[in-house]
Amino acid sequence: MFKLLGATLVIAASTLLGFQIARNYQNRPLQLRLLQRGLKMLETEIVYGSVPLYQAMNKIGARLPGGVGLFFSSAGENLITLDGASTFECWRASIEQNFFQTALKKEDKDLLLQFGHTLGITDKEDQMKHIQLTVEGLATEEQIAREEQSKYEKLSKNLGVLLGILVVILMY
Amino acid sequence: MNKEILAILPISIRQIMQKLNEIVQKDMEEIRIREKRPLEIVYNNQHLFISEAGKLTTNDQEAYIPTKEDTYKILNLISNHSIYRLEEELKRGYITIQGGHRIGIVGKAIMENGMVKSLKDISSFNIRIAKQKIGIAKPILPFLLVDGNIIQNTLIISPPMCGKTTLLRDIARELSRGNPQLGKSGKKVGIVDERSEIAGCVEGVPQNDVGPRTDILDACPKAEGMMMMIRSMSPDVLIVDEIGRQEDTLAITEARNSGVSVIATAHGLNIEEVMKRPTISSLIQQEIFTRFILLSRKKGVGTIEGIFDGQLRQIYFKEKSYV
Repeated sequence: MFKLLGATLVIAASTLLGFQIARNYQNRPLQLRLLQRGLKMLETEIVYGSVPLYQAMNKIGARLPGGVGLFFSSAGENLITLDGASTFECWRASIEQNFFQTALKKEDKDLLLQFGHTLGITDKEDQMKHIQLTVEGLATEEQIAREEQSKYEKLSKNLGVLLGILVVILMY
Repeated sequence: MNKEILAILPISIRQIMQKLNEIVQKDMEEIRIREKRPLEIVYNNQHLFISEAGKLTTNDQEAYIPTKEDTYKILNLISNHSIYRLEEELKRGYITIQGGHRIGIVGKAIMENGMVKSLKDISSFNIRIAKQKIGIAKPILPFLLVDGNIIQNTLIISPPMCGKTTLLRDIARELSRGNPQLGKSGKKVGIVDERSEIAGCVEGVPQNDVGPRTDILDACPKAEGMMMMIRSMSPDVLIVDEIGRQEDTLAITEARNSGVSVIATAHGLNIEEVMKRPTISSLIQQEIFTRFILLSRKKGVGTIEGIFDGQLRQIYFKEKSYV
């Protein structure tokens, strides 16, 4: 009886793990797409709206869901509350703080941090260039993420279940 | 010290400023921050360095040296982390902040088609602390009005730093407000504020009190602005700072022809010196200006040397600072 219960638990756990990994594969391209949308919105706010950075960040944060939205909204908050901190510091703190809530990888984070170095501190033309450059970088990552998704999403789901079964068989 | 000024200083400099003697904090005229060179203030007409402990000194070796980090942060704070919004300001070389204070900036110019497009590597700031002197124009006002109501075209003549813009601002305010107790209604005042110095507008809203019936055309070239004002806002009196160009003369003549009075300022030690400038002397000879106020620093900022009428006869004499 206990054996059966244990076996069920093992299979359930490893299946869940597999699904979790699969979900990361599924979410990363979506979040990368969202980030690109956010940056394009930022471009519009900066270049055409001439809106102060914190306002633009708050606005975009409110319109994007999940962790990606938090990147923007908490950066907006940092810009006001972190007295005397540089723009990059405010952006970096927000990325670090909310990164765990996303399915993004280190290379995506590096792109975002790189972008933070020029955020807000140059003229409009320059801002536009840096935003476009970052959007391009994110688009490339998105492409890669989609390929990985098609390769590994199903695989990790199946693997989760199978691994559970394997462990159970070995234990018996 | 003024909170608007503190808000744009990085913490390192802010702490030093707060260590200063309170009177110095209050009466400071300028703060000069230059990257990798001593921190300096102008106080009581003296240029003094400040040490890290907040001591005033004339020895530059003791002074606090602002770092690159400091200047970078000032720019961040002035612009609210949005330097891209300051394109116009960087082209002109100064920024007006909340409270009407002005910050002059220099760095490396970026050129485009032979014109300055923007500044980068900004390394020097001159923070000029705005001081409103409310009510200083009151004793002068009766001399600018004929029959108690018609505003005379007036030219304020003064060397730099003698308070002519401060006086001009207060005249605008007094005229705009009027004096209900004496049964004098306010006038419609139009300010063409080419250098954002009179009203100190931030996003179109004047930071200085310029009166309830005052319209401001901010950052607009004077000559063109005066014409726009006359056409669009039908003012009773136009206020402009530092006239001198050929176009200004035309615009002032035009204003007189449309029945709008003009109160303007010009650089100069005295009327004779101003008369040597062809553009202004033609206005004086045509008797377009009927009042002249001469300022100096003899008894402190804002000493009124005299008020003269259109024939250059003195109608007011009391060598006294308005402050």
